Amino acid sequence: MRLLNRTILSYLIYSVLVFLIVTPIFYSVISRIFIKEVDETLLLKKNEIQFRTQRIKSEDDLRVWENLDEDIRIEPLTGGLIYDSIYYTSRYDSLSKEIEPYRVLSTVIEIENKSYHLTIFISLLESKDLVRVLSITQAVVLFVLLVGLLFINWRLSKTIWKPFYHTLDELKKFDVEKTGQLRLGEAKVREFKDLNEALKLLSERSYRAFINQKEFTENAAHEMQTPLAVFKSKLELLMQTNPTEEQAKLMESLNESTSRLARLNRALLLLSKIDNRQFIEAESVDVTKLTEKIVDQNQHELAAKGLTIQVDRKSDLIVKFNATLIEVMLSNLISNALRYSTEKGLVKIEIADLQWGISNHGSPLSFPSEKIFERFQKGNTQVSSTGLGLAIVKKIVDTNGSTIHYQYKEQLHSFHVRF
Amino acid sequence: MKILLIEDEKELAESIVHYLNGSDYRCEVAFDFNSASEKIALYQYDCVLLDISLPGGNGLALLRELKGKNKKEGVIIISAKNSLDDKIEGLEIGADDYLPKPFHLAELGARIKALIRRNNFDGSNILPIGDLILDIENKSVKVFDQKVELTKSEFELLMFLISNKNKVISKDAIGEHLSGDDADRFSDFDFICSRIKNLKKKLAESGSSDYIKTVYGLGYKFEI
Repeated sequence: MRLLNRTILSYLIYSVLVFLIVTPIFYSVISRIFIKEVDETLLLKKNEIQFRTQRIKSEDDLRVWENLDEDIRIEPLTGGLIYDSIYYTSRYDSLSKEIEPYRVLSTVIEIENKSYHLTIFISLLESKDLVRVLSITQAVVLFVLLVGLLFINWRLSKTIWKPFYHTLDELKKFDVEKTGQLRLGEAKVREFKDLNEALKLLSERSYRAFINQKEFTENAAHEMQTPLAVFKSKLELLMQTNPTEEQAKLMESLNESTSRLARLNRALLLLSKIDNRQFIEAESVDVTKLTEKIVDQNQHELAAKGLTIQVDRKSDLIVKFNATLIEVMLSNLISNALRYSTEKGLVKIEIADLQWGISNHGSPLSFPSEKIFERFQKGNTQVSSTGLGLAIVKKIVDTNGSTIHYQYKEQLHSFHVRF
Repeated sequence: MKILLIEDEKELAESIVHYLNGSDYRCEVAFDFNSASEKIALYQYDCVLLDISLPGGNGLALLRELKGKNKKEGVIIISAKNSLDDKIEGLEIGADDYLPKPFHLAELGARIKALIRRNNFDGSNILPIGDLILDIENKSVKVFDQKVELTKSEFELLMFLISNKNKVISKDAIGEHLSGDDADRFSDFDFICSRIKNLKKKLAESGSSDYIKTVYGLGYKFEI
């Protein structure tokens, strides 16, 4: 749920609640006030009648008055005592020909030293209408107010959160390897300004760390080359000194280690070079031809392990790619398949429309398959591997915007590149 | 044959000189830009081995100097920078070859041999050695006027051994020479054993003396 909707929903729930609760309360309060008002009027009227009846001299006068005023009834007191009381009643109105609600005061007055039962009526019909109109007006005002508030809030939120969503979009696009530093717009709201500042700082820091790490890898690999070269050369000179068999064996293992170190170093350099985008020029590459060339270069290894390579060409495949990188990529994938294939196995390469796949039989991975493209992740049996080959492949694939998938099924390892 | 080695890393320079002086070469060393520039101006060499990053200047500037003077020296760049730009620029200016550090001395030996051969024997690509006569152009070998059927890679192997004759060459050096030096090649060089065996067998069948010696498990040597 979006933040905007979330606040609006809370407001909406609150508004509806207020609306539902306040409207009946308002209605009943207004009614009460009105009835109180009516009751006061009744009492006032009683006093007025008490005062006016002083002018009445006879029973006939009384009848005339009573006949003129429909809302008053004066009857001689019969029976027991009557207390003052105010109550509701309904009466048939001869004008509107309807039964209408009334408020009634029933009391006792003295005329000419004689007690009379006085009943005063006040129609509540108008008051009912008034209360209803008042309530409706109030409800409408409240409603308009709430809707207006909601709308203003919605509009305001939209504009206020705009810089936030902009920042969010930029963050989603942010990739320290590709976009470098974060580019955020100017925000006017302080909180967002602070947020942007903090994010900028964060991105700068990660960018610096990234650059440092990149430079370190490259520099370290560079710096290692000279001592490695010296070591290698001295070892080769040592080999010329007619070594005994024991010495020769030692030299051989030194030689192997140095070569491995040199390969590792080269691989690291290559990785950092790809990172540094030193291979950007793309050209049309005939993948089929290239595959055949690499297979040909690997003939020695194929023969040594008794492997067969079968290139299954479903269609021509010509892609836009950096020539160096694609060669390294295919070469690494083929080398990898040869290295981990079972003895005398069959390595299959499949070339189809915008797809290149390779598969070999082999024992299952000794690590989770999602780690296969990580650096220095290698099958435990192979010491001569640098553990960087597939990491380089992944990097190249990513640089080009292609994809690669690995799967292991029925003892078959397979990689598929989609250009 | 005179070789000028321009390399500021003294230990490495020493190794290279030591290795090369044992062959048919006389090797001189310049440790920095200025002394290299002086030597280039004063003397004539058959081959110059050039490091790119030097105290006092860039090796590529020396290369321009050499080519500007229209000198005939073959130039091999030996660089730790291993950067593609350097390689491309160097070869564009007129370097004949590029060898990234660290390299096998045997590989350097083979490259120098090939370069000098290209520059000196104009057109003639016949190399007689012992009982063998190698035709480098056609990649064929004759023993007592009889052609020996060698595969392309067997011929390359033989050439590599001959280029470093009387030197022990490690299996690694041979392997890298034969299969190139890609970043993470399948580099189990066991195949070299059988390749050498085949080569020796073919040469023996043709009646040639046995020049190729195995040095324990360490490597091989073309002894003459």
